[in-house]
Amino acid sequence: MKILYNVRVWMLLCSMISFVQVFAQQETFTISGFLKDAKNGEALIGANVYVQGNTSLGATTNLYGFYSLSLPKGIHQIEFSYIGYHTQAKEINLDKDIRINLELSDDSKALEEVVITSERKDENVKNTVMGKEELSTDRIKSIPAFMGEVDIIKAIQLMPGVQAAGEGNSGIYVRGGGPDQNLVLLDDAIVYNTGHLFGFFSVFNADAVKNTTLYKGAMPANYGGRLSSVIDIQMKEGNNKRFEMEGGIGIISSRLTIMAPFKKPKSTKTAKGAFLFSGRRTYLFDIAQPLLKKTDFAGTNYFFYDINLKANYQFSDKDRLYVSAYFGRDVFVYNSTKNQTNVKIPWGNATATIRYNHLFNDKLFMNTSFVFNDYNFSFSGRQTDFSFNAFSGVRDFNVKVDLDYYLNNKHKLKFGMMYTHHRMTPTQASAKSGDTDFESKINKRYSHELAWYAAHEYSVNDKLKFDFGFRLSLFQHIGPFQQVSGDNIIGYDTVYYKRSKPIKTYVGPEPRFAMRYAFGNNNSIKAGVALNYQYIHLVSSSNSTLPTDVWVQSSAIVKPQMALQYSVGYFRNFKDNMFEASIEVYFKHLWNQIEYGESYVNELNVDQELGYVFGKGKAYGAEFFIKKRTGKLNGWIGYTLSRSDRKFPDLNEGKVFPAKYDRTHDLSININYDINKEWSVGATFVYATGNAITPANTLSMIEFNPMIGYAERNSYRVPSYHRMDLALTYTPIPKRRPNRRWKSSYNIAIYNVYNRKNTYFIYNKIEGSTLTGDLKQTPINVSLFPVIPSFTWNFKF
Amino acid sequence: MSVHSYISTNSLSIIKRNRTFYSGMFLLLGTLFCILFFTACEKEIKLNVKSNPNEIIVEGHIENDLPPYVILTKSISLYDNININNLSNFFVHNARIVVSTDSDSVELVEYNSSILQSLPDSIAIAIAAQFGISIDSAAAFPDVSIYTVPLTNTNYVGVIGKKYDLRIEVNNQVLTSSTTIPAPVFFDSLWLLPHPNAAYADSFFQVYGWLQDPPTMGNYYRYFTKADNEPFLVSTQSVFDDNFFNGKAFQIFIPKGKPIGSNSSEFDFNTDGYWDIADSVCTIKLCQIDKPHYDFWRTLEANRSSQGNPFGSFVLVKSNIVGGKGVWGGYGSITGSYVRVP
Repeated sequence: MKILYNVRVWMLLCSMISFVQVFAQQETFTISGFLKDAKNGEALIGANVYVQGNTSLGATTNLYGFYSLSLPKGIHQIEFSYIGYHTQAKEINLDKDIRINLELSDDSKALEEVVITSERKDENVKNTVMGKEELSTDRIKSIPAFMGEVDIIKAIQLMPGVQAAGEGNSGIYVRGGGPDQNLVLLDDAIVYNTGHLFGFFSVFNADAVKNTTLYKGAMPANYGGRLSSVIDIQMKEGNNKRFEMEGGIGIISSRLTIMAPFKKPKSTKTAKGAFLFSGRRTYLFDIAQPLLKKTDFAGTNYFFYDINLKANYQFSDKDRLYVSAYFGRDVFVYNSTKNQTNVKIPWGNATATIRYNHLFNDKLFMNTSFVFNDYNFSFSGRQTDFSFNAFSGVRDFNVKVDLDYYLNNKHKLKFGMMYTHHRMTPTQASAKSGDTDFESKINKRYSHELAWYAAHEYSVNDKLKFDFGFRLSLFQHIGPFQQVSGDNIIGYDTVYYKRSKPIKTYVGPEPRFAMRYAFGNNNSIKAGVALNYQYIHLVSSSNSTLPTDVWVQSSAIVKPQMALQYSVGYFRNFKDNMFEASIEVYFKHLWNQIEYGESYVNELNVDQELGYVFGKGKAYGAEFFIKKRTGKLNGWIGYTLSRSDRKFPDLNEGKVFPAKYDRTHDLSININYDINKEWSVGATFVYATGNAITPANTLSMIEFNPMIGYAERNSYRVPSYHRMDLALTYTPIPKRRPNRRWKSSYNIAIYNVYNRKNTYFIYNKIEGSTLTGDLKQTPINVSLFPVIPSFTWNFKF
Repeated sequence: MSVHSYISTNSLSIIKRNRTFYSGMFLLLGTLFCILFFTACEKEIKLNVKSNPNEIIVEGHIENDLPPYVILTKSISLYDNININNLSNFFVHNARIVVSTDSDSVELVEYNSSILQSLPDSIAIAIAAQFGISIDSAAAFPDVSIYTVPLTNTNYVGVIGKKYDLRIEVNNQVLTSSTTIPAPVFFDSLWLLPHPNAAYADSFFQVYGWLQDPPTMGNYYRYFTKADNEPFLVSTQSVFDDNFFNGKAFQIFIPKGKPIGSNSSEFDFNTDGYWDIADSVCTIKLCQIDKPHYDFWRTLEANRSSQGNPFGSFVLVKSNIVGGKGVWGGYGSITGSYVRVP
């Protein structure tokens, strides 16, 4: 921990020095405004505004499309650009602060030609951010999709440093960390369970998503609360120009999205407000309903659905309001008339976000968010005169204020705070047998989570740029709560805590630092350090997360998880930005990592945290990435060589073992080729070292039945995982009216083209019995998905 | 694997074994998963896994009014097949075993099951039945070896409320443990109900009991069932605690135990746990056990059921033996029967 302390002190010092340097500047003025999409009026996130011929003088739009660029007095050629959109250039005589709001139009009309994806030159070389990937939904849609369901999370899995949790699974492990260490945000709301159907599909309907950003390296100071990564997903805002509809019919689900202005604007103007509605539902089992109707199982069904809503309204040039909501559920119903049994299991997330943007002046932008989110799982079952119910979940209320202060072209400040009130409900069960009621008495947990942050982006000169950040987080477990200790021998002792009474408090200073040094032609070296705290945890016994997994908060027993990450990278662009390449290496220390004890068995009415054991970990690796950004053929290759170890005093006899997130090799190739304006093909290939599992190795007898012994933890590797997927998309352009608004496209995707039988799990088949003396165990390899073709029809209006 | 079986395991066992229900929840979801992805493909493979066999496994018990007994076995490599001829290789012979309380002690002697019948009935029948061997078939077992009290000290039996220490010396190893015999509790009444599915009502019936759990937290139960003159048998989940129902009185379904050595992975929803219409005397033995003893069975049963569950993690068995594996457990038992009138 001494290293930690040194890093902290050093970073604070640097930060202070740079603040001092803010003063003593020449006379400058500010150009600021919003950049929007000409086709629907949506904010363009991460668009670039820069001075022609001087790529180091520039700004990027924030999540709401706002930019602010301060320049010396004089005449400047300013370029406004966004990937896949036409660049606009303006000559500006800067003698006062000015506002320029612009709309950029995309290149869709020019699809026949080579798509020129315009981006500020050398963007990835010039910024300080490392381990950041931005993915537009359009690009994600060109990736072959499993069962035709376009999946944002699975697209992220193709990035270096990011591993899929398992076959067809949308759970992710980032740089050797667990699935609970990823902060997944949908319009600022935390999504606690990102998967439908055991994670085979993610809860994000791609039609409703505009943009996805992944941070896996040194996290900027405005994010926190998780150790490994941030996946920041922005929903589409609604179309402020005209009515727009898109949807699709696939083999397992159908989708429909409607976007429209509240009031139709005149000609090419933009309406002040607009909304979006998007829905998706599966129907695989609905189709089977008529068949089940006459059987014993009438009414048995499984489906999931997602609903996304969003509205935006611009009160003035300086004030804008966004309201967004998400609601999704998986529902499983089981009926059996003969056995007088009914079971219903629904689970899912709900989120609601209200965001208010205010521009104080040309340099100071504020966003205030109010967020509600909820995840819950419930189970209700009945057989004859016996019934059983279980419930678990998380519910948060959150408020957040973020300020962006664009001081001048050398200094940019970000600061803000957030507060969350958590309520965590462990599995609470109740049952009724005959006339007797049973109820579990595990307490709900309540807590405050607070954070303040400040970040300072400082461009020393063309070559050198620093990003100093500091986040201070605070977590407090509060009452009402009752703590029971002891057993039936020494007796029980109960302590009661009143509502809001602090029970346990943790404070986490989280320094963040990033720097860039640019040199030569299109080269840069970047480095970063970040310390992160995580106060809420999800411990799962399976590889991925299950709907029944329960989030738990830090307490007197469960300390906050911590990670300190160092990373260094070399970035280079080739051929006038046609290729982007990078090599990043990282090293992570992990503390207070949590696992279940080796003899843990889930029990009702027993606090889960009593079954935990704690330890530390290390993760390190190198990531290689090359991306061809432009041309008919585009795509990327990512390769990661890494290791992730854990050491727990109470696991594996205290010896170091590989984490279940450990993958030695991980290769992802994604290629897209536009044959012509109507046809395009996509291909994905992935290769990864097999999962580490703990194999059974010994057999002994108790009451003439087997007792199984196990080898060292995670000491066996299942065969390596590899798979190729292909997709073909046909978007006919009507010969008579090539410009008509109605557009159809047909997509054929093939999952696992060469039918690789990847290991899903291994179990031992037991045959015979000890008593008859012919007991035999055979290891069986189970693979899940063979080659699966799918077909999807999409339309747009 | 059918949805059916999971539902039934759940609901039948809820009160009796509340944790079953919880794991049932996972299993039910697992079934859903299996239905949806019926494409799953299974293939036999070869695993090259190192094993460390020859660990000593203790299975020892002491029950009120019964003499203590210990079975000593060795672990073998998982993929070694077991056949009737090498069953004897399992047993560990020539151990020095002492059971003691604060005031007295007894050194156990080794018997071979083939001579069980030559023991006095009081010991032989009880012991044979204890671990599920019918006294008549015991002779058919080659080399099943049991350590129990010497013929000169057959009145050394378990006493409720006492603590019993165990010390085993074998092959230059010393294994120790200690257990207690808690005060027993029994059902206030037992009754029968027909099978809930009419199609099976002619062949099977159910047994119910009314249980009053003692007011203090921390009661751990294990139960055995016996039909007519069969041995005592246990279910795949034979233990439960009062965490969920402390101090309550309620009805409880009592499933019939499975014959020993039967494959626990096979489960028939319509027959498992139900009593055969031919059974005329339904005997239930309900035992109170202490926490370490309970933890052993709880983790062992999870150890058996976690095999091959893709959603569950492996479970290591929690032993109360110092220097070895297995269990030394005391039972505070009461046995009662329901005699059916033909």
